[in-house]
Amino acid sequence: MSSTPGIAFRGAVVWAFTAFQPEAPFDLAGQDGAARSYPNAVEVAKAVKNGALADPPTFQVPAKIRPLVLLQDRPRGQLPEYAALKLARFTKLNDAEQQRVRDGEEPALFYLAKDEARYGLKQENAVDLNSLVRVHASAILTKPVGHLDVNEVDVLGRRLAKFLDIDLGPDIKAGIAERWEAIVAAQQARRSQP
Amino acid sequence: MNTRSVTANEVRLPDMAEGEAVIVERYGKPYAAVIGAEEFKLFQRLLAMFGERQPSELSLSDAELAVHRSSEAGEDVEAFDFALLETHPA
Repeated sequence: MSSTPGIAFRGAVVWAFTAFQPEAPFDLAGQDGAARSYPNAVEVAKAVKNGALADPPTFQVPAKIRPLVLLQDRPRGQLPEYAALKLARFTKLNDAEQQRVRDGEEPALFYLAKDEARYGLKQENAVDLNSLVRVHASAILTKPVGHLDVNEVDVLGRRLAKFLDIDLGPDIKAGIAERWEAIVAAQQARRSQP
Repeated sequence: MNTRSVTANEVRLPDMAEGEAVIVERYGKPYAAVIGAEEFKLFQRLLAMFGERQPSELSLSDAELAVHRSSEAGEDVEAFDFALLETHPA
């Protein structure tokens, strides 16, 4: 998918290749072409240093085609990477747990009902708030198959701040204080008028 | 606070009245406390308002963790319909 200026992707559901995170033991192809496994990141760095691995090294990781919800628009088309959250099924949970997801009682899992016309998905899903990924526009396979609405995206944004441990409290307090001072100043100005 | 869920048949709980907290003592000193589910929700809300900011990982339930783990492993993910390459090309 190209970063087409003017097209709204914020809240769009798309299918894309997402690579798994490299994790130990690490499988890499050496400078000689032979595949080797390294038990930890330090051993990989040592192999880069001694020339056994290229700099930068190429990690062998699988990628899966999966649905994502994009969190950003790129109106200028200058940034080809999109922040996105992965969609997950939750069929392995027991019945009570599944119902809690549907009822919105599991805040790290934002429920998307089975609604193909709306979300473009054949099954019910949940947005995993702990699955933030960056996906390159060229790894996106489809144009948007569905959309979350503005309110849903706003909820995702607030929850994402929480699950990224971003403290919005100081900004909120500053905004309240600023508004309060403006109200007091306006009252004082009215009282001082003859 | 990290929370861990166990099923009711894994533990023996004392009979509790609504709004009551049961303090379990060991050697004459408080060792643990058992409170009702509603009181625990209130406690969590108070903790969120007045307590120190906690890493969000501590708030994750067993269900949330289970879904996240299976999703990250590429399991329990809706299967791609390759017809979308024709009907919704990027």
